[in-house]
Amino acid sequence: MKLSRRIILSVSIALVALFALWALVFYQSSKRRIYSRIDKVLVEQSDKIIGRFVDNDSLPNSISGMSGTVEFFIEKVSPEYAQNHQNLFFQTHEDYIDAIQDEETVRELNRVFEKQGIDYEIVLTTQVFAWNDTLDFAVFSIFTLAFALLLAIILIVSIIILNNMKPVYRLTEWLRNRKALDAIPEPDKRIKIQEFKEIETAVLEASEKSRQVYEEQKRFIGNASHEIQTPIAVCRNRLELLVDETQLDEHQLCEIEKTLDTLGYISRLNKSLLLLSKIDNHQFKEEAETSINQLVNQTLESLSEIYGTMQIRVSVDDRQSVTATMDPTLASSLVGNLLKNAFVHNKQGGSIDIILKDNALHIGNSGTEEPLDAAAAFQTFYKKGENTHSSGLGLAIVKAICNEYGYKIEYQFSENQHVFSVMFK
Amino acid sequence: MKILVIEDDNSLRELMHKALTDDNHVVETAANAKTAMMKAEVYDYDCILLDIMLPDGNGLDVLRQLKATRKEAGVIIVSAKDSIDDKVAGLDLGADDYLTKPFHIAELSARVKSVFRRKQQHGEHFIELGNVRMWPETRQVTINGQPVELLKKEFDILHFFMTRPDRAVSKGTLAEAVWGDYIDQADNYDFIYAQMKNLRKRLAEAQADIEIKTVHGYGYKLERQ
Repeated sequence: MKLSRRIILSVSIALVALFALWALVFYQSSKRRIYSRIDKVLVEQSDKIIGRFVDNDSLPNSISGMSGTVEFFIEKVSPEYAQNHQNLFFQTHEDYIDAIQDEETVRELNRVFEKQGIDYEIVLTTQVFAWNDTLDFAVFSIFTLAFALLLAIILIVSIIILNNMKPVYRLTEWLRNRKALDAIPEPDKRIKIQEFKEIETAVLEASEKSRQVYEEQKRFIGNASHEIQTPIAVCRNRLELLVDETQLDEHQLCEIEKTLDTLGYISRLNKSLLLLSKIDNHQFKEEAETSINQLVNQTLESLSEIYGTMQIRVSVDDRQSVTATMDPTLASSLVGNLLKNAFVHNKQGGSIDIILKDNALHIGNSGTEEPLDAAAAFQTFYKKGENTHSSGLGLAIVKAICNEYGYKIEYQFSENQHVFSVMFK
Repeated sequence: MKILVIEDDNSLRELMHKALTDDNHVVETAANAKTAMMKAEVYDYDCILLDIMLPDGNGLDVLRQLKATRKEAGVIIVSAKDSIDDKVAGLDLGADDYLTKPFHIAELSARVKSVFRRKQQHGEHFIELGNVRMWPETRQVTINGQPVELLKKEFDILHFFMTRPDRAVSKGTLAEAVWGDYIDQADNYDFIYAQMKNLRKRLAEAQADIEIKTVHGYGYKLERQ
């Protein structure tokens, strides 16, 4: 929920509740005061009428009171009734009024008195509508005021929040789109709120720190990889000179060859790490339309030779042509690593099925009988089984390339085949 | 041939010196840019091997200065940096070749010979060994003056050995050079045998006086008969 909506909602609920409560209290207390005044008038009028009645003076049909006429009538009552109704009795009820031809609220006073040993009861009624109208209007006014106040608050809060949050929204947007090596912008002078200023400062400082760490790490990987190449060259060349210049027996030569192989592996591992870090640093900027079909067929030619002894059946469905606009080095690395993966993790007499279709490349290969851990397979140095020659970087490189270009890569295990699919855009 | 090796790593410098001396070159060395420039200005070299990352300066600056002095030396950049950008920058400045670390001794020897050949042959790019002559650009081979048809990989293998005669080459080195990047996870080098068998057969049929011999337990070596 947005902050502005939260504030508006809270204020609205509080305000409506407060005004409702206040209106209720106001209405009740006003009503009590009005009725007490009407009652006073009724008592005064009843005093006068009773006085005249006792003196046997003529009585008027009605008396005009504060809010209209006061009507009355007097009737005899039994001594028991009089005994039970000694107190003044007020009541309010709806009554049909001839003058306005409608039901109206009336206030009625029942009072028992005595004249020459005979008990009488006087009943006075007067309308209270004028008072009620005034009261209704007052309550209506209160609610109108409340509503207007609410609208004003919503408007003001919205304007304040919108104005002050804009830089915060901009900051969030920047943070979301930020790449690891982006320069850190100057603090936004438009931010006026202290808390937001502090958030901005914290965000910019954290970003700068992470940028520095990233740059440091990038430089370290690059330098380390380069520095390692020279000692590898030295080891390799010493062994090669040893072979060229010394008479060695077959066993010794065999050991040296194995050592050279391992050195070659270290060197390639190093290069793969360097490639991975370069991809992550967006250092491949060249873009060319590359035919994936052509790459697949070229790569297969070499791989089929290298893994010829495994007698793997390879089928390629390349009736549709698939192309991708990307760096040619990365394109060949992507296809090369995926295909190599299909050969390396295959079994003797296994199969590889390649389908180029709907701008996607699907490579399925036989191998282990159980599926790989799809999430872990693309991590660096993920190894399954005992293949010691696998660097565990191939699929990580594939994943990094796909991320770089926004291609989708999927792994599935179906019909005893491990299928990797790359969806080019 | 007179060669100047500019390399800051003592061990590697010593090895390069040794390997090139073994190839009957006269070799001088420099450990930093300053010494290198001093030597290059005073003496004439046929070939200069230049490490790009030097303690007292960028090797590319040395290359710029070398080219400014209008010396005729061929320059091979030796670098741990494998990126296309670095290669292009080096070659644009007039370097003749670019060798990436870690390299094989045989590779170093071949590249130096290639620079030398280019200087001598003035544009005609062929390699000759015994009665075998090959044109790497047009991928043609003649033995005893007669054209010989070779398959792609057979040609690549022959080219590899023609540029490194008399040096033992391990199977891994050969595989990496001919089959490229895909080789790194191969379990065995059986696939080399088939190609090698065919190539030897073709060389023998055409009565070539060079032979690719097996170095047991290690790899192969090209020898003149």
